Amino acid sequence: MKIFGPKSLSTIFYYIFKTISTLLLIFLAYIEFAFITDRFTIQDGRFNMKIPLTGSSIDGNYQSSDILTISLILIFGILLFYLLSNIFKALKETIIFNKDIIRNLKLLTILNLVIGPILYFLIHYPIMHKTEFRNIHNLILLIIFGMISLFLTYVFKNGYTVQSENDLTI
Amino acid sequence: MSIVVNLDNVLSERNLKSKELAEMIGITEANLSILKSGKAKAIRFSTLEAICKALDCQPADILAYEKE
Repeated sequence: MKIFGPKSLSTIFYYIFKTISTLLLIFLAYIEFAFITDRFTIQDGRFNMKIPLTGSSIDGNYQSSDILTISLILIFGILLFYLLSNIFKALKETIIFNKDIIRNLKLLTILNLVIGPILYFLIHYPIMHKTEFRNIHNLILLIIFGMISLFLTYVFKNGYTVQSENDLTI
Repeated sequence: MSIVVNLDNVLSERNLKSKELAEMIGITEANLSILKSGKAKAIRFSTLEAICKALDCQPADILAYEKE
């Protein structure tokens, strides 16, 4: 199977990531709606919210910090999968060295290297008031992912230049 | 760019249109337009050879270097 271009692996990944980001957006909207309209139960200081159509439920401490954390992580996830779907959308084009992929890779780098770590520390200290430094693997993964996308951005930038020069060779 | 393409002058000297030259050398009118406008980044020897053959001229008649 082809990796790039129309009807390729990139097309499949585009639809997968687009679906995930859409589902996460619907999930976030449902959670916010459920919190606003009191569609959950509280037991021993913990909330329990049934997720429609899945038969499962989510629960957590019924505190604004927990709810804010869930919302922020979901927003981050939506943005991450949305950008990934945009990258694969650009990769399913006939010419893969295009401006769209460079722009989306740049945004992915910013999301992983800037917004991700800021969100991590924001959730860890001011929101959740944690005293010890835990779950560092999430931060490491974000930075590794961000570094890869940073290098990929420059690879695609150079590719775009070569492609443009090749297109303008008569 | 300091390389100037004088294709228009040579074409008018020979009373030829761009479309006719494009057909003669086997490239698209769009590509010939890119070449004439100076937007081209490079020219293949094969294209240059075809132009020189079609217009019965030397590469220097088409391309010139101008100090910026």
